[in-house]
Amino acid sequence: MKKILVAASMFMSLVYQVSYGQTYMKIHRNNGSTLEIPVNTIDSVTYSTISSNLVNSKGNISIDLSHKFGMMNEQTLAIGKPVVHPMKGDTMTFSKFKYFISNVKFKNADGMYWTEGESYHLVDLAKPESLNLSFKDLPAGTYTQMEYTIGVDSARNVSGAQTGALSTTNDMYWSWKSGYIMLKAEGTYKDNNADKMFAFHLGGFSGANNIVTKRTMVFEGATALTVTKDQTSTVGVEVNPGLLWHSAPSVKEVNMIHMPGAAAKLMALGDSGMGFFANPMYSFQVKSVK
Amino acid sequence: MRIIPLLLILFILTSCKKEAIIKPVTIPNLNSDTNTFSFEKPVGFPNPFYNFSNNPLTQKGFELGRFLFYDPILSLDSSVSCNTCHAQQHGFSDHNVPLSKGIFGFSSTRNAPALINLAWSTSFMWDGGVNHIEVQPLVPLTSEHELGETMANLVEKLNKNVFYKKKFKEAFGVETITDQKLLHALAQFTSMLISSNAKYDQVMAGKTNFTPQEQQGYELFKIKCANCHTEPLFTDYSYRNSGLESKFKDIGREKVTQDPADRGKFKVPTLRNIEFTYPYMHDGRLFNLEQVLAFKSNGIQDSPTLDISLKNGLNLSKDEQKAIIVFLKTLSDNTFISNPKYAEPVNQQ
Repeated sequence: MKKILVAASMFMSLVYQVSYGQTYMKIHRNNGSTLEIPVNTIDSVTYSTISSNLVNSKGNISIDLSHKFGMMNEQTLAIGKPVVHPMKGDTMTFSKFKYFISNVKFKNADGMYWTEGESYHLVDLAKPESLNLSFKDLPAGTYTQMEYTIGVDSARNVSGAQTGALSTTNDMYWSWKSGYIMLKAEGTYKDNNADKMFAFHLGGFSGANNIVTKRTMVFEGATALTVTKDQTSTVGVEVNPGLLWHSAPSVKEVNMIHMPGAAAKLMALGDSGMGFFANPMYSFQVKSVK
Repeated sequence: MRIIPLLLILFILTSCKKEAIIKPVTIPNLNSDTNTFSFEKPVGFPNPFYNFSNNPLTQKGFELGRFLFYDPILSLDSSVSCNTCHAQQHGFSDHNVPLSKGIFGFSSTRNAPALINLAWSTSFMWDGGVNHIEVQPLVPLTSEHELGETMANLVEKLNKNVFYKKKFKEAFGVETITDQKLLHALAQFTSMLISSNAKYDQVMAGKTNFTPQEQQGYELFKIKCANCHTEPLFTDYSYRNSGLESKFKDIGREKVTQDPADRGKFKVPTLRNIEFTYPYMHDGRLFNLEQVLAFKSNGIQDSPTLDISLKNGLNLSKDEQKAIIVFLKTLSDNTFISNPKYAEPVNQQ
């Protein structure tokens, strides 16, 4: 007979089921795995928890994204508004700008994680509501960092039809070469006063073409993040898509990317990891916490 | 003892997970008489690649997929359905035309493949660009030369359709039709298009015998063809340049991989029901099996990516070619092309 210790630090949830005349206890763990234990083999269950205050009082986090084009000149990036790239000098007007943020986890001061369930967010500059990433019912306490991914993890690229942010109705999927468009930027640019089109569809989830990037956003000092019971803590984050052209050539030289490959990778990751997806300092900067 | 788990539920409420999973788990009782609808793996077949893990197979899901497969509502102008280019009597390939016609009479660039034993297929399309059976329909649905739709428009159309609102609710319990459920329904139908009852299968099961000429063809087939057209599915799902040309109008797999080593390579097609699926090759250029065997024997065009097994052609005599063709016709499965389960449903709306 087994004795089972269920530690709260594992963030488990429990269900039970009856099938084929056998009662099982089913333990869903946050890492996606499931334990099934026949109930008649269980003597007793002990549930230990770190702090009942911690789990009983819950609050929310809102990550508010504001998009700039370049770090120094503070141009707001918005649909239909011409911006000038500070390094390349290109004048660009975006008609579409969309990208995925996924697999969000918050780490608290004790080193424990709160993990969002179905964690796929499509940020779309044309949809103001998509610029606030809302996370509800986190245990109150201090959080030191958010871990997240730019793009869509490889598993969801090879597992058939998806829904929600990953729905193909969002026009972020390549049908002819299965896989998500992780970032889509379209619009026009000035070339000797003529308006020309640009279209950058960046993707690639495996092998040499992989651009899916895991990142960390740190909350410390003036931007320390505390979740308070029944309150929403708002984190202001400045996003700088200008970094797409940190290493990639001027839009006058390359104005279209429509599949995974070296060009998409250069744009997303950049030389030495200085591109938009990978830049550790300047692509997503925590500016304020309220 | 059984009360303990109930008490455990209380602990869930103290868990700090965002959404604690408290929903009851139900598992269909496969032994029940009311649920006899299941995927049956034919004897001698390997395990299928598609296992319905995120898309539990049900009779209602299959029937919905069947309705959708035959319904031109899926095309931009309601003129073309899946069935237009994948007809049952032709082994779910096109009506014996090299290139298929989509909306407004637009022509596709490749021959419509036969939809046979797709649950075992590891990739889709001639170039293998699609990695999962559920997302395969996105290509024909959204190609401007085929059904010409957008997924957003298609979902909107279906949600306005009383018949499909009801059918999706019955099949998936949903009030709103999503692209995911549409693709799940289609996958339930297409993955069940199983052909495993040809004379070849009867012979393998010891229920009948090949004629001497069929046997001769089978022996030759095993030596000359089975390396790529591997039994029992009659494909190894690899990509190969079969020597159709030395300068390529269609670069094939290279379009997907961007690798020049894949130039002119296409997926090895199954040979099951090959008698019904003419014309042949990725562009439908060869109209009968005699032409195919003659080409494989002494019409191979050399190029850097030509498959090694075809370097010198298959060098088959006329009699040998004839014997192989006689054998290939033992892969014709009349129960497959006449199975009423796969036929166009009646009383659609």
